[in-house]
Amino acid sequence: MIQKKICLLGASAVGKTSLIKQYIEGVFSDKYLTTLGVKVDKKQVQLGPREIQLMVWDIEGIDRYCGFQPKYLRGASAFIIVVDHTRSQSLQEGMEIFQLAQETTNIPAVLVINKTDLPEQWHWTEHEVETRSHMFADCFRTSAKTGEQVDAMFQAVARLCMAD
Amino acid sequence: MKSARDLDDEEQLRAVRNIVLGQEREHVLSAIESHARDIVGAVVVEALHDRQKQNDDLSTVFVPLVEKSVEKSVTRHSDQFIGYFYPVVGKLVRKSVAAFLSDVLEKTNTLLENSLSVKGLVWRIKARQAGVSFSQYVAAQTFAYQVEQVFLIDANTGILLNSVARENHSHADADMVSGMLTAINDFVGDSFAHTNNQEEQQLASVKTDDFTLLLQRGPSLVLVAAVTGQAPAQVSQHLQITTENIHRLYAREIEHFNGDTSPFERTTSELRECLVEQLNTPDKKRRPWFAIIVLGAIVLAFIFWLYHTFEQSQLKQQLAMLDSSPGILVRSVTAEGLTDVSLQVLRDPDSQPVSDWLAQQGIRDDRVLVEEKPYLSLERPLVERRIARVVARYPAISLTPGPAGFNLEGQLNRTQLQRLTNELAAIPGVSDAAALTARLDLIQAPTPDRQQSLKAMFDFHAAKIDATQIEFDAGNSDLSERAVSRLTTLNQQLDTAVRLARQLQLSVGLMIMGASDASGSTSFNQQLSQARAQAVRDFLVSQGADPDYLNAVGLGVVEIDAIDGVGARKVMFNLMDFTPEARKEERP
Repeated sequence: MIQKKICLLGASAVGKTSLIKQYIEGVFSDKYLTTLGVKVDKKQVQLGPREIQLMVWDIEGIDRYCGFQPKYLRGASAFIIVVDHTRSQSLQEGMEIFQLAQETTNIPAVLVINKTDLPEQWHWTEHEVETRSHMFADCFRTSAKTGEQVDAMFQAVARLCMAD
Repeated sequence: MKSARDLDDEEQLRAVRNIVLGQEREHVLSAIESHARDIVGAVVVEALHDRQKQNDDLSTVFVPLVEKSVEKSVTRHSDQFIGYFYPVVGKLVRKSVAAFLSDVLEKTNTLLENSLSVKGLVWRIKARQAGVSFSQYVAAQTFAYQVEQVFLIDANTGILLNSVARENHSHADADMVSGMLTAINDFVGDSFAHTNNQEEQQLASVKTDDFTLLLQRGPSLVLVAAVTGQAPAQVSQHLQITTENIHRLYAREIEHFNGDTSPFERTTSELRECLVEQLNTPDKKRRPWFAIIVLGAIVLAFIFWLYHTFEQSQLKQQLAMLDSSPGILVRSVTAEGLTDVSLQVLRDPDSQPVSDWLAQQGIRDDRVLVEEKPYLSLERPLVERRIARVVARYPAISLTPGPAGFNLEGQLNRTQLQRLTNELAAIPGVSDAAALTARLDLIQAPTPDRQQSLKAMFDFHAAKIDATQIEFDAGNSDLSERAVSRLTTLNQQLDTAVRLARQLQLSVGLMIMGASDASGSTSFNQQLSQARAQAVRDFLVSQGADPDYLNAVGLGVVEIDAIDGVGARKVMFNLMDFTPEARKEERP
């Protein structure tokens, strides 16, 4: 079986853990996130005839005041930046994290704008978002609550990993 | 710097080499290739032999190839294989079944030992407390250490390449465990890195109460072993050698690793070799002295107890034989403490003393606590003994054996005969005193002087009184009409006897002895006999008798065998002469 490591990054409370909780097979408690700063789960994705197992490293919410643990990105085939479209700040923070990550790795990244089930409350224009999303290999608007686009996003991430 | 001459020489040498060996050594290669099979064939066996002697790498390389080849061959030519195996398959099945049964028996035995022994129960409780299965706990207790599971992890991504575990080991989700282990390792490496030391910190082991995780890190792979018990240094060395071997043998697969873990499935045999274990060997030098001493003391105490119980039982059986002795009734023989015996008997005062009987039997009297209660026996030897005592007071007559047991022979005058008859009649168990004295010869008595006459008269009345008996109904102390009549007569005889005693200057007193039969409790019978004696005394006092002469005593149970249904429910009398002179001069 093909296995790939991917990382889930983003500011605090953007819904990273919620995004994977319902759709990913996990055995570890969320308390590891706060103690170790990371929790490893897995997701199996069918890509045509092949089955890919994604080892998803859910990394603790990163803000401006706490450091970024680049070592967790080591060996990853792709990473996902999650932002919350009800908070303008989260996109800015997401972009900062993206830049930090790019300093240590050149693997493809996916932008995920989460919480689409809630009304949009940020002042970013569609054009500004699109400009930023061009820096990513792909961009998805997901809802962890309804599951909208979640599977499609992981499929795309798996494809990116295999293209690597 | 090389000179132009040197360069020229090298160029020339290369040209010569190309002529001799050919471009890219093609002459040599073609020469070797044409004889390659011969060259390799000549040394291949020896070369394999020599390589195998160095270490196990050759086997490691060959095992997957052979396994794959056999698998392919069996799949393609299954019919042929059936033909090959047919002759041996019967034996194989029998052997397999025998091995299976033996294994089942052994496991059942172990299970029973572990389940039914105290140790097994304790282990079950402890396993439940620890929250692990019983089999895992038994394994943890039985083995000094045991490698339960081995993970082969890609150091870079944390992806699990392969893992093996024991059959009884519960499989955690190895994929995520290896990912988290890598994350923990990264966390430790980052958190505890020395600022002045560029070398990355690595986890070597993780210890918990139940097991230890040993991490052996190679350049690209991490080998992790989950070990229960105290893992010695050899386990780490073993892991290190395995890590090095895998790095060497799978260098290409590691270099081109892109997330596909299937090439690493072939590492199973190497990983399985890491599932080592060592049994707990009990310390033979250590002997459980305390337990031995306690056990020894218990055994000795048991033997001591057994010996004394046996001896006590023998003694009790011996004492029970006392019951056959005339005039003695054994009521109970009970154990007293560990060695002594308590003996309760009813004994006729005329029978053999218990202490004498014990001495005859060779029994130490300090081991027997005797509790005696008096009773009157009507057994023949006792009655004969009483008769002999009375007869002894008459030197002129003797006791001789006869058809009815014995006869009295000799000569007596009338007064003596009357007195003897009265005395014999007063003996309990003598039913016909006249028949006993029937063969005695009657002789003329010498003329007595006044004093002798008075004495004779006193003796006559005394004998009459002694022969009187008052019967009672069962459980009753009331005087019947017949009793009142007899007591009226007795009161007159007593009055006469007392008057004669005064004239003879004798000091006399009347013993009124109450008795009861054996029915009812001992204390009740004692009270009843006393009440009967007292009733008689009260009546005599009411008839004018001097109370100073009357002494009422209760004898309790007097006999076991009843006579004419009346039994011992009676009051008897004995006019006693307390005068010292009178005792010296026995009545003739």
